[in-house]
Amino acid sequence: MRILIAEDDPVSALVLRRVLEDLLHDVDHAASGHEAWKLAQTSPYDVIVSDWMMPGVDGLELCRLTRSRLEGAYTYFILLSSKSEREARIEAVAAGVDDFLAKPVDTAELEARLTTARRILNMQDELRTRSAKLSQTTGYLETANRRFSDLFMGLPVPSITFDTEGRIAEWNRAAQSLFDLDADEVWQRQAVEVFADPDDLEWAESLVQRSIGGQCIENEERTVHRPDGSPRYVLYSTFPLKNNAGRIIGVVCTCSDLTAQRNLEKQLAEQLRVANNLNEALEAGKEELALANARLAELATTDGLTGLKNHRTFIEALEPSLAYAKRHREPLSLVLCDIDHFKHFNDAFGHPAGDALLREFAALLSCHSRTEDLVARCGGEEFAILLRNCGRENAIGVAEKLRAVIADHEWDLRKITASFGVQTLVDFEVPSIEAIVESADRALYASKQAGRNRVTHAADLHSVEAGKKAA
Amino acid sequence: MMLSEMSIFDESKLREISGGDRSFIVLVLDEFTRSGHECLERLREAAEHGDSEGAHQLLHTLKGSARTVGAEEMGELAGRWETRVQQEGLGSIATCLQELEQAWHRLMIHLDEQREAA
Repeated sequence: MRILIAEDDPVSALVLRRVLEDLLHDVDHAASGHEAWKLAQTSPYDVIVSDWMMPGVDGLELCRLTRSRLEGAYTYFILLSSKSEREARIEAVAAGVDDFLAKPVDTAELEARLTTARRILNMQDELRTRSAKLSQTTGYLETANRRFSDLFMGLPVPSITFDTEGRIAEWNRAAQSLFDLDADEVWQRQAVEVFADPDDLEWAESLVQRSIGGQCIENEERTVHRPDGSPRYVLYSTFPLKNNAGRIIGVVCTCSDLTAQRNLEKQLAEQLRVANNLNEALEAGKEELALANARLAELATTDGLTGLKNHRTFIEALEPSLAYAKRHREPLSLVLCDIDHFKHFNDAFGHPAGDALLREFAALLSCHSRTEDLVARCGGEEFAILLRNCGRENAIGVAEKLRAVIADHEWDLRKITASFGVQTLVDFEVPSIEAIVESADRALYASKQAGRNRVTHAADLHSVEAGKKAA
Repeated sequence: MMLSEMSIFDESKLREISGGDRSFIVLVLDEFTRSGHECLERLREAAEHGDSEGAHQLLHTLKGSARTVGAEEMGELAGRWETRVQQEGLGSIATCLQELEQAWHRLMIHLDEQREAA
């Protein structure tokens, strides 16, 4: 061991040094307490063997100074003295003295005391090592605790712990934000008061009791109102906290905030409802529009006075009918008719009577035509009938029948007749619409010229004209 | 034990400590002679200056070194005067000095005789 002798008596120091060196210790000597303290500060000793009475810093003061050093290894302090008074020894022990030796020193006793010193120092070393390890472990624990605390506080999911009495112990930042309550406001409060509205305490009480009882609760949704009255939709889950012995010491509760999701769902449902209403309105509008369109189309294609197809519709129907007849090699005939002396009738009986005549005339044409025939008013007192799949003879027959119906009809004011001109496509060489209409019109004109109330086919007109040319 | 019954010097202590190492015994006795003499000189000075505390301290030191080397009469005398000075101060310091110097003289004669005999 490294031993320092603090002794102002050079003779005692010399003898003591000899004894200690014989015991194979490493020995230094200081001739005063002050010198001893200086040496002990620069290089600590395992043991200090000090005289009690020394001028200046005495043995007790040296011991106090030694004990005032907080760091470093323990120094075993043996006080040499002839003092044996009880009070003096108590004072010395209070100053930190470990052992006493009477002067003059007994070699065997000194050796025995140093053996004790060695044992105590070994124990002190062991204690120091353990203390350092404990301090290190405590440091780790503190770090782990702090890290866990930081982690818990910083979790994005609102998280709360409560004890087995249901009192809130921890409350992280996300929970503060969700419930709009600071940790200080809720600490040690009953969790049930926070978890649910006053009218839902039964459920909250059940959640807390089930959790304390060891159940893991999963996803129970509740609506909670914050202090400002705004609702929060919260999904609660819990699991019990246990100590090393497996006993439940509390509960961790996570409270997922579904408010944004629920609000979006509500918003979406509202938007869907509005969209459905709009859609229904749109459907209704579409139906009305379709009816209106149909009505409009009807109006656009119909002659307002007689209810027959109008001239434009008739002309538009001609082209596809001609193409159809050519493709299917079917005959097609066009009949034009004109009420005889209609101007005179109008002059004699007035326009209302004229209009009535036109309506009655049109009704007769419609009534005595085939379903597949297209009957139209071409303007004034002129009408047209398109006879599909109808050859020359049949067309003349149809026209003749119509002429007879009109002539035989019992008219209110006077007898009415009409003149007819017919044209038939025979060689399926489709002429222009204008050409076919023009030839039918010439046949009609021929009927007028020939005295009215008759039917003329355009083909006959050609042969008559050819006969005239030949003659 | 009466002073008159005590031996002036008991060499067995130093022999025991040194294991009979003669040179060490001589070294210690030389140091004792030097420091003891110095101690008595300083005690005289302390007495002249009325320094009872210093005198007490010196008597304590003299007592310790004397007992250590086995100078029993000297150690006992210094111890008695140490107690007396502590209790009474320097009232009898002249007697103290006289007794100690006489004892010291006897001791030195004894040690010289021993050295010569060795």
